[in-house]
Amino acid sequence: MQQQQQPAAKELHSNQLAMQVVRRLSKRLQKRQQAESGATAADLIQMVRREAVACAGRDPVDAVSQNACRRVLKILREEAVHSLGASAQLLSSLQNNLFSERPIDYSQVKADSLRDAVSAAIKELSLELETSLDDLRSHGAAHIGENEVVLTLGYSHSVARVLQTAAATRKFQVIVCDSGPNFSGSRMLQLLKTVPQIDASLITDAHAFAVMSRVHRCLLSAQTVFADGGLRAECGTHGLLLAAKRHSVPVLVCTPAHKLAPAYHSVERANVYLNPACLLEENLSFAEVHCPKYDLVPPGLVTLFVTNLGGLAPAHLHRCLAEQYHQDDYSIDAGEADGDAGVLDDE
Amino acid sequence: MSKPADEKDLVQAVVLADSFNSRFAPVARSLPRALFPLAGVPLIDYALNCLADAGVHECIVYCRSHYKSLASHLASSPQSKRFATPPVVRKCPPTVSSLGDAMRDLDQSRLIKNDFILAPADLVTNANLAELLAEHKRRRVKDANCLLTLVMRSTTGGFNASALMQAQERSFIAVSNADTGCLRMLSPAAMDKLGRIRLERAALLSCGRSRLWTGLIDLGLAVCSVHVPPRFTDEFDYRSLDDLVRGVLEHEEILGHTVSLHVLGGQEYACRVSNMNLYALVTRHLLDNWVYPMTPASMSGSRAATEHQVRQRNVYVSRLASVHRSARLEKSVLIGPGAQVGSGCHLVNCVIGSNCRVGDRTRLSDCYLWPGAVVSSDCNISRSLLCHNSTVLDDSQLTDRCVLTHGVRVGPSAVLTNFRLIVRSGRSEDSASTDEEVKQQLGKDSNAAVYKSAYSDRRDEAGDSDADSGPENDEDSVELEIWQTTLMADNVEYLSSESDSSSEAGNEVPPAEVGEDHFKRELLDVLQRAEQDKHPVDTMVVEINSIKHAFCVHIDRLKAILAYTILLYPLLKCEKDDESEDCQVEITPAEHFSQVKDCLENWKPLLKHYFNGFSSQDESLIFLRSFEDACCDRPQPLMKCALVLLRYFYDTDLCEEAAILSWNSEEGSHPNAGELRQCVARMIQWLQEASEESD
Repeated sequence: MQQQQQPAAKELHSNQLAMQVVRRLSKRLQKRQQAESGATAADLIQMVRREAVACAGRDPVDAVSQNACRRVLKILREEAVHSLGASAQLLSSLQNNLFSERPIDYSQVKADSLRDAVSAAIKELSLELETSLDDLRSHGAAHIGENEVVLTLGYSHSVARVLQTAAATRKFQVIVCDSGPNFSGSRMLQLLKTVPQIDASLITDAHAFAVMSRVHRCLLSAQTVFADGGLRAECGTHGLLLAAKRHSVPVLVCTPAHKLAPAYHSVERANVYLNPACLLEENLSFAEVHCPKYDLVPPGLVTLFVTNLGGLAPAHLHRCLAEQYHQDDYSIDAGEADGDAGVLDDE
Repeated sequence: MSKPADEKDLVQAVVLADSFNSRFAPVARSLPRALFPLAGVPLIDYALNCLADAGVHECIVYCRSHYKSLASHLASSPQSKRFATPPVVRKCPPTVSSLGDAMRDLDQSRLIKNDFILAPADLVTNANLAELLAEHKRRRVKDANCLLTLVMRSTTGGFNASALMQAQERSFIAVSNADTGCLRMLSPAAMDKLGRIRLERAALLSCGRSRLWTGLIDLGLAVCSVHVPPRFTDEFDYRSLDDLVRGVLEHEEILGHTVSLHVLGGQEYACRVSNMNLYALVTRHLLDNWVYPMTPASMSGSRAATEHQVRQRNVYVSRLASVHRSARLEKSVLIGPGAQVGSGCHLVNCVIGSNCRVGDRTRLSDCYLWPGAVVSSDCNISRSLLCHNSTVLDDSQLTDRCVLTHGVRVGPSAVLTNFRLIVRSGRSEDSASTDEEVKQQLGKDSNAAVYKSAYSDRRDEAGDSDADSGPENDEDSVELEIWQTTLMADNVEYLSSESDSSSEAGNEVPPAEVGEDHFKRELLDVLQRAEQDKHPVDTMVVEINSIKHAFCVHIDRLKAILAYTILLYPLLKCEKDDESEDCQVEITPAEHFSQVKDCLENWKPLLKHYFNGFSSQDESLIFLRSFEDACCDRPQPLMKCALVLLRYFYDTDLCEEAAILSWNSEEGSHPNAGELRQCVARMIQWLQEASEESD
């Protein structure tokens, strides 16, 4: 059921998914603001938080939808504070927030009064998400030099776009790891073969270490980037990054900002386990076969994150987080879902 | 999902929620097998989930006992909400004692409007049934006689070849056509002492390019055409799907029905939970993700409150369960909501149902605790099943396949090993043993007794559907029943005796050839009587069908003979009346043509009935070939009027232009075939020119 719906959702690129969530939220917000005259900003915030919880419930691996919710929450909180006036603004600034005695009371703000400001801000957010890939592309292309050898793994929409953009002005070589067991690398190779400026070749994942000494740069993508620089990325990434570290090859991770999650890396983070039959046809009773879809890569292996906001060193990820999300929304707890977690399924 | 507007697109499924046997006797007394919790979810939900994924709109669930509990489960199950109309539970009358009876009941009820999926409730599969259904429909378009597509799981070269195979009661070998998938032979697999497998020669010879399958597992799953339930009504002694398949294969010559075989392999998991070993195995596979995308997390529903937290090595812990931090959950463990696991526990390959309690320092391996089961401290339990609300008191040892039925209490310090089935004592219907030694084993606070199954007696009464699967077990292994009835090797004799007889039959002249001459004569009689008494076509069809069955004539031969006889009817009638050989000279080609034309006009509906309205080219080709046979056999009157006849066929739409052209390009087997081709050359030329012009 929910698992069956996933493949359809997978067809979307992450920015499309984020845009979809934002669009849905803005529609719901508008409806709520119109329907309920007594609604306050606190009600709206609670509604969006519930949506975020529901997103996590539907697919624990999908951080993008949750992050999109957080972005909307940030907008709501900011606009509410703005309408409360100068004293609240002072309270919400970073230093004062640390010593504040009581939190800001969002229920004082009428939802109706925020309508125009919120819709304008959401429009801006949608625009940012829409152009995120183009921004990322131009930032990323700057990191690839003439005649360099670039190593990448599997298929990634953003990496492919970055490579294509870079190929417009220079010639370079790309080595693609085929990324078993789904072998999306061959799809990447097919795409790169259409670009005359790129000399692309395919290797198996196991060869990554052997070719690493020739490689100038690794260009990868991630499913989620954690606040400490850890990754949840396609299976095989961890091994590749360790090989890169051994050979001191710089690793660039192409990630739009909406993949950046305000959580720390842990091996207990959600992962998807696929059917082991795709690895090992025969189920030997003594063998235990696991087929995780993602690697949970510990922090410290990535040199630079290339985002649509520009290059970010792992140490500066927290700045980007603080800009994008409100501190109160970092943790979204399942406990809030009480009762109507399914509220969003009516779409 | 909403119901389609057109009834033709309606997809139906029939789920058999009764196994019609008493394998799980004491356990299934209070809970039907379809509702056994498998990894915390009732067994039937897996089948329903799979059917709902396949886009089934309507689901009919058959059961004989436990009607109320099934109906109330289906009313609340999240899976049933996924169908266009909620699944209907149909309570069979107590006379229904097999799949065959259920099908006959279904035929009477007229609930089936379309091809449907037949699945048992204890099936766990992630196969794409929608694809299977589509394939079946495509096949039905090509071959309208395809009665059903049988679905089986291959275990050779696939996953868990050994484990899954050993837990099965029997496996099958099959021969099917490699191109069309048409099944030629299906029999329980067995090797003789030299490790050889016997095949029926006839099956291989008739098949063309054939494919041999070994190690197939019966799933009870099939995509059936609408004609299956009526077929069960016709053959009132068929009890199982096996009977039907065997019947169809044996009588293929007569009725022309075929069965196709689809074998699941690779990542498609499929298994029936038909004994305790399989229950244990399927649970393991489910926890270990082999049934992906069906996982314990996906089956438990999307409500956050009941959702499991997934840890490494396939450990699923409900967010509402409390697990002591010193408890070690090694691998493949599922802990349901409200369960408590005490300190120092060690769990491997276990399912702890909702609201279970496991005491401190207990070791559980390969254990299945149904909701409400309690295990106290310091116990050691392996490979056992603890049903609802059963209790194991302190310091007990349960090893190797013990089953504690509902509400049983054993211990403290109970020691139970090897295939013990423990029931509550004091129930008169169970002949439970109560000698002193056993009492000591059960512990002093126990309310239980060891169950002595009267399985072999009861099996006959209940009309076990797989009573023919092998010889009866001996007394010692009676307790084994719930785990597994017979071992694979026991089937050896059964098969070898059968295949011997069939290989002998292959050496003789098939009876079909002998019957054909008689059939021709009878057919002529039928036609003559029809002409004299002006029988309607319906009556003729009935008469022809009955003689077809009597002389074992294949449908294709019947068509050919019918066309042949009608084309030569004036001649044959004349011969028959005079009992002389020389009357053929007396009929001129022109006379013959006019008489044949009359016959064809009279009996056109009859021909259309048998040739399916001459809708396809194949049917027309059969007709033209018998025309060729007739011309070549009796060149005297026919060869002369061949051209006019062919023109007549063409004008009256008996044969399409394309059919005539492709018939002409065939090499005739008859020596006179070339002559005939010359006779009709003008017509062919005209047709070719006409077709070129139209191009």
